[in-house]
Amino acid sequence: MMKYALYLGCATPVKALKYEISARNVAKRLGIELVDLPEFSCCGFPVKSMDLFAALLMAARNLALAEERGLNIIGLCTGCISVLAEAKVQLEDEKLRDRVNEKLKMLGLPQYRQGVSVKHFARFLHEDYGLDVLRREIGAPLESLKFGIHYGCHYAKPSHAHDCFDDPSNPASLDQLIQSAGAKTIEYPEKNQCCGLTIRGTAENVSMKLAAEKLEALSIRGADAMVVACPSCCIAYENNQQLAGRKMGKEFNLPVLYFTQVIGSALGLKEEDLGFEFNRIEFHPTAR
Amino acid sequence: MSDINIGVFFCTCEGEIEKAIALDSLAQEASGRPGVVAVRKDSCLCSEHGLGAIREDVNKFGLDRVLVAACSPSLKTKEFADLGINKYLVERMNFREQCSQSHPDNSEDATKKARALLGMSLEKIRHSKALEPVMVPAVRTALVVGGGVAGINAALDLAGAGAEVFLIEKKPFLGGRVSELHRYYPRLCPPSCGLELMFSKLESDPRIHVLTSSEVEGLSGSPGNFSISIKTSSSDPTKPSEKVQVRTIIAGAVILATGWEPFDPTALTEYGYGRLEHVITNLDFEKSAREQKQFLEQQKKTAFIQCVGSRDERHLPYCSDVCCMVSIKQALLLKQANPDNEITIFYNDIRAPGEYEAMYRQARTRGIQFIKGIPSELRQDAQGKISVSVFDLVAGERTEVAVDQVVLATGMKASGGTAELKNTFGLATNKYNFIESHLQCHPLDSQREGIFSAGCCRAPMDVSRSIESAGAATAKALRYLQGEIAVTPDFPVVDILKCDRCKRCVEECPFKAYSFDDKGFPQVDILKCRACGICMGGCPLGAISLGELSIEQLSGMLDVLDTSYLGEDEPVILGFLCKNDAYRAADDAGAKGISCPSNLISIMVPCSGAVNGMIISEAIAKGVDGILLAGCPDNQCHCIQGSVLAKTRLADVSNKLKEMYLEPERVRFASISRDDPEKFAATVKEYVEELKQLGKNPLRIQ
Amino acid sequence: MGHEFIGGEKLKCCYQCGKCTSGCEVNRIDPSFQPHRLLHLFGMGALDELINGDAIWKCTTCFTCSERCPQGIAVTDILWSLRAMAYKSCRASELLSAQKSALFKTGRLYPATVLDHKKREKAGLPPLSEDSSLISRIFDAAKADG
Repeated sequence: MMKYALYLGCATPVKALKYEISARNVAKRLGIELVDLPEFSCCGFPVKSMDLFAALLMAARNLALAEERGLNIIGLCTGCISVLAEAKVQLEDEKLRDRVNEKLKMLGLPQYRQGVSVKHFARFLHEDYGLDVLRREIGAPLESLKFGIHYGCHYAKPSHAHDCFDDPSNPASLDQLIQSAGAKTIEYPEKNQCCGLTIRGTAENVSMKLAAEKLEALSIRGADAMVVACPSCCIAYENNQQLAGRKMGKEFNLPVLYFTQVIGSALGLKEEDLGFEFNRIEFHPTAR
Repeated sequence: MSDINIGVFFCTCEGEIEKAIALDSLAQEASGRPGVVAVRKDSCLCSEHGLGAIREDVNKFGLDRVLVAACSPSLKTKEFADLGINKYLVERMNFREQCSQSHPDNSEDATKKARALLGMSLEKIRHSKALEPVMVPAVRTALVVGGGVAGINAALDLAGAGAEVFLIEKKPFLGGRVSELHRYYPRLCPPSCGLELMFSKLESDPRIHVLTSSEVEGLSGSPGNFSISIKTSSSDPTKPSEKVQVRTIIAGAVILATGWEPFDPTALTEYGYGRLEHVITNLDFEKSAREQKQFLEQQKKTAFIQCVGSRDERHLPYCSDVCCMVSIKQALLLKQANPDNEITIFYNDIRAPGEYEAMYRQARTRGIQFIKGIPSELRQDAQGKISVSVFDLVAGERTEVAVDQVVLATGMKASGGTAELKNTFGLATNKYNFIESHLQCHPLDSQREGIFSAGCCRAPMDVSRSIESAGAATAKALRYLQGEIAVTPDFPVVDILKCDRCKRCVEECPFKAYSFDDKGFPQVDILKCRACGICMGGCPLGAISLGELSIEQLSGMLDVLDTSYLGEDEPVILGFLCKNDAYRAADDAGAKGISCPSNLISIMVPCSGAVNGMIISEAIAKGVDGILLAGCPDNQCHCIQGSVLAKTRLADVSNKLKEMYLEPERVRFASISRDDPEKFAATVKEYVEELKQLGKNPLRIQ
Repeated sequence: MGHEFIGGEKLKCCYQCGKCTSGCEVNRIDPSFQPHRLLHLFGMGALDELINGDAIWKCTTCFTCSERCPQGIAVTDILWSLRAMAYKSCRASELLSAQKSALFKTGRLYPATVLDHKKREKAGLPPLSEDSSLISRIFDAAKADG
């Protein structure tokens, strides 16, 4: 039985319940045990703009807590995972690690000894769980559906933190994951574009335009839905869809789903077990 | 000892030396020394009359040894080699640069030091031997490995100089990479023209034997007489195992011309090479231009992206030299074929050296657009064109073009052939796998005597430089192709009676000149040896001596050195200065009037690695207050690892000193570059001060 | 170990090829944001303009520049370092102040309201914890000497 520490981060449990619900239920269905560590705290991403060492400490804290329990980390937010994974790489430096461990001790926390792996849930499914195994579990392939995948910037980048598991310029793992659910995925030039959410407060125009461009690109290509893997990206494309639309003088109506919701559907899970009631734009995959 | 007749000659150097040194008094002392039968003082020994006087005395007194007290031994070498006596029986004493010029302020001290030098040199010269160059028979055959433009030209040059040449090529045909090119720059002429000329010359020269589908299997022997086995496979691809022939040839010298390989830009996934249609490399361009007439003529928009993979610390950290000119050439070809062709070159820097600048100017005037700014990625748009979005750094704004094709200007990597041969030939390559020895001083040698390199296996370069480098390699190789090779007799000799076969000399020799004889004793291949002396420095039993400098001589010099030559309270430093850098810096200090304490007596050594730890210990035991080893800075050592080894040996000696309750500061290493005489003088001054603080060597006899 | 400034070692190697700005999504929409220019200014020591300006807050941290820089310069990290310097000089953006406030008060970037807790309960999800002192303790530990 595969057992992992589930790292939720700050956004998912408050802003993206449909992601958390669908992720937990997909994991359960596939026999993956996700353990909650209530001591987990913010990964440190926002703190990187304030104090780099404090940010590293925040990340290291989470790594140390997981390591103490002997669990590897699976996460839902790509931003969190990239920060934790990057911290892991930085902490390979002995001097830095010693310094961080000193501080962890000061805070009454366990020491970090480099025994934790950090992966996004989608990467885990693709690499560790395996597409072949997944395909066998798929009972209700979504054959008539066409999805536009949005990878987001922290899914495969920085590549050295993610062991270069997918090519950032031409990623394929999420497409393959969705394809294993029987659906088609769209190739489109704007695929690598950022959602822009992180600058929503400081450069709103740019942020909105970025979101709008991708919504437009997928809408005109007839995507049945956009698939995301990060709660921030979802906010950019789903929560802010109408605002972004107004920016471009258009009205968008593109459903935005988490990959867990899509996989879950193909696995035969019920819509209420996949957080579909939280979808802002209605979408019923199995009703096609 | 007294049956040797020694003549001592003092040059005043037109009074320059005599200003600081009391030559008359020294001359008188010299004439009283055992063996000295002739003493002469002259105002200019290196002049015709001065040399004539020495030659006369050699005859008149039947001199067996000549001692010359004059300028630095690195000067006037030709003059003092022709005195009517074997030149190895002539000893030079540095009375000018490192004595009178370095210590002008206190002529008494200069004289004292000169006196000490005189004593040491008299001792040294007793042990000198008359040496003659060793003539080693050599074959007049050369091997050229690689049938590209560099290899072909090397073969032609070698045959032109009278050698027999074997030119071998791995592929079934000659021509190498240039045969894949459509046109050369700067003349935009076809390679076939030049190649055909070369091929016909190759064919018509009976001295050149071309072996295609052939590879080197193994090499043994030494320069002048390499034994090389060559495997020739069937050139018929349908019958691969037929006619595999192995032959052995004997060659005096080898020139490697194993060329280059193109960098594969697939790794830069952002450019979509292999994924997007119509994204090609510069070599693909040449191929298409050669094979399809329409390729150049058909009107289209083309973008070139420079520095793809080159100047990139993740791929090729170096500049590949030719890509700027290749792109300009290709752009001009497009314009020439169809003036309506539109071309943009996205660059980082345009490198058009020398007269190629004119081609760059021509490209601009023909309307080829140059934009400074490297695109981050390539995308295929809905119409199937490639869209290039780039920030124009000069205009300060973004620009977008949709083009029909993108040419990635990719660079050169070292070839697989070079990597294979590295082991066969025991070659050193630089960190990019190009063949290299000591780049500044010996750019054409590999680290093995008699083996040279030409063309792109050395570094990325264009066709004209490749051809030139072939000529240069040929010139170097000729030494080994004259039928016999004269080897300067400064190579080391191993005293087998003292040797205990510890193998250190074999392991430490940077030129792999040592091998084992059938009893397991080390033997030197004098053709591979470069007389650096690292073996002499490393032998724990002092069993190895160089032709011109022996352990015996050094020991003898230490015996007679008067450690109180400057007086009871002055420390004496023995300086072993490497002849390439430190010794010259010391000379330079004198020549530039930078004064230096007279406490240091120097001994010129071929390399700081040539100094044996036993000699250092002996010096300390005999009362020398301080030892200075001065050599080239680490990464510039002319003998590759001499400086590094010297430091290691000093560390050993330091430890021994500690065990003897002596101060380890009494031995030290200094990196002195040839052009840093100030550093030399400062080092000596500092050392003298420190030794004064430390006090006299307790082993110094009063 | 100057952890305040990461990515600086390679900064001097920047030969202004412009690849970072060419691939920058923000620059495409807002041409005034030019990463290569920020690097150039930083290399020249023009910190004031950078720290006091708006530019450094426009980066989405998408990492495209860092991934593709031929000199291996961690451009994104340098942007973060500049922001941290601005923060230390009390030149933080408003958004950042709000985020800091949330983190220090609750330990969460998005504090959970009563409604949020109820939603989770209804969906059968485990409760969320809050820690009002954790982040400030971490910041203190980070500053403490040693």
